[in-house]
Amino acid sequence: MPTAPDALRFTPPLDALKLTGIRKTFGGTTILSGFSLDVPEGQRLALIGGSGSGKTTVLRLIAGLERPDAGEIELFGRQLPYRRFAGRLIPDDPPEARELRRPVGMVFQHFNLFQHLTALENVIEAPIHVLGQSPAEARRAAMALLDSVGLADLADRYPRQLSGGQQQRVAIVRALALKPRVLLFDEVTASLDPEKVAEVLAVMRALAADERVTMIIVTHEMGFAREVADRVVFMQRGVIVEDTPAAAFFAAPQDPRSRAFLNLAS
Amino acid sequence: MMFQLDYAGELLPILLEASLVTLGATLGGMALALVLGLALALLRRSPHAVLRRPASMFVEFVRSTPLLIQIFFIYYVLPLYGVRIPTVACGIVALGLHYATYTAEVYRAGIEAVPRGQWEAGRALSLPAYRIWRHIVLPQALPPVVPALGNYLIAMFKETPLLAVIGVHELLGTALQEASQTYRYYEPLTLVGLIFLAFSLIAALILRRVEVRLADRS
Repeated sequence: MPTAPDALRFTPPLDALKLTGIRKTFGGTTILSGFSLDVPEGQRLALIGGSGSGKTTVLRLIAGLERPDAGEIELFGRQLPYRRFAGRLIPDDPPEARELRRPVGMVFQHFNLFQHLTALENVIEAPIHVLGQSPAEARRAAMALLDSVGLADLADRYPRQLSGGQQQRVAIVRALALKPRVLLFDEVTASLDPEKVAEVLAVMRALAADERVTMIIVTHEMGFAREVADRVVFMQRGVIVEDTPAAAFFAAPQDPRSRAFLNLAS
Repeated sequence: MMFQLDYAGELLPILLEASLVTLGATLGGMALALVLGLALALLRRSPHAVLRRPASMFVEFVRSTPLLIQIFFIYYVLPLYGVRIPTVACGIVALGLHYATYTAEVYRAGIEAVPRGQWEAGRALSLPAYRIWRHIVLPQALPPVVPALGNYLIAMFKETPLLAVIGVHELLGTALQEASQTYRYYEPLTLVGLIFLAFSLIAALILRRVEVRLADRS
């Protein structure tokens, strides 16, 4: 196949995300040291590895829930600023950082729905107070999203009145309501009953098929990763052991450690 | 010397009127303690040491000194700095400051009981910190600590007789004043005790109902 002249080529898609030389330690334990990762826009990246491999920390750093001890995080070509304060439970969050991180949504293992708000109220909170939508507008959009995951009739329920699978679908909708360009999934099916896993995976599968959103998925569901991801990054002890197209990874993992992991996981 | 009912009957209206001062001081002190305590609790969680440290020092200092001394201090020392407020207001400020350090601890417990994930979800949604505090964390932190706050309200109520030392005409002060004219202490002090008992019981009952309400809601 002849290659197009340079001038006619599409500019390569912007990196949605670029982590460079990230170091993160917790109480003397080094989780990440010199960790770097580029994620082009639109990619579905599966981040896999055993527990303690640092994959969740990577997501939390991107979402701004942790701050790196060293290194840089860029979102769509712009570097996240950090203010230095003693390590407090809730680090100071400069408004510029919040603005830059706005296109990033995160879905958590334990859903983290706001317990005192209904499903609908959970979803419309950020569109109203971050995007500045009118309540009516936010409500309409939220109902459409809830409907798309089959939860429209449960909109007025409180989280404790919903099953785990339903709560996680609300949590995904809540993240989507901010129209994110990057979605982080942190073991979103790991605390669900086995029979509820499928309903959440179905929602994510539909997302991967429909949306242009960049997805970084930390998961132990190898079947799902294989099906949805186009790239796999396998981590161990804070280091990337293997970084390959998903098809290649699942067909023939190169590193013995990835092979051992896959054998255990499947 | 037996309990004289007609003297007691004479005293009752005077003491009931004085109990309004007691109630006012309690409510004023509690309002101050509730607001200031929350402010202290929030300041102590600030990422800025310049806010955190003074708040912590204030709490430690106030909790380590007797309320009685604080009452005298505010009454006698503040005017030296040109702060002239009515005697009752001095009492309210003293009670409010003192109890704020206790309510601050109660608030802290409530805030710490809100799972970290609630914060994290708020941050992941890019909600500003004040919005997370006001609409996510506090609405979940406060209802469970209402009973504990209510107990401090009752405790403060029972400490209001201390204000008699600076001449606030609350229950005890008024009773002692009356007694000093007749040299009869039996009736006034008994009545004061009964009035305190009645108010405490009513407050405890109300608190109990609030607790049940809150329990139903969650």
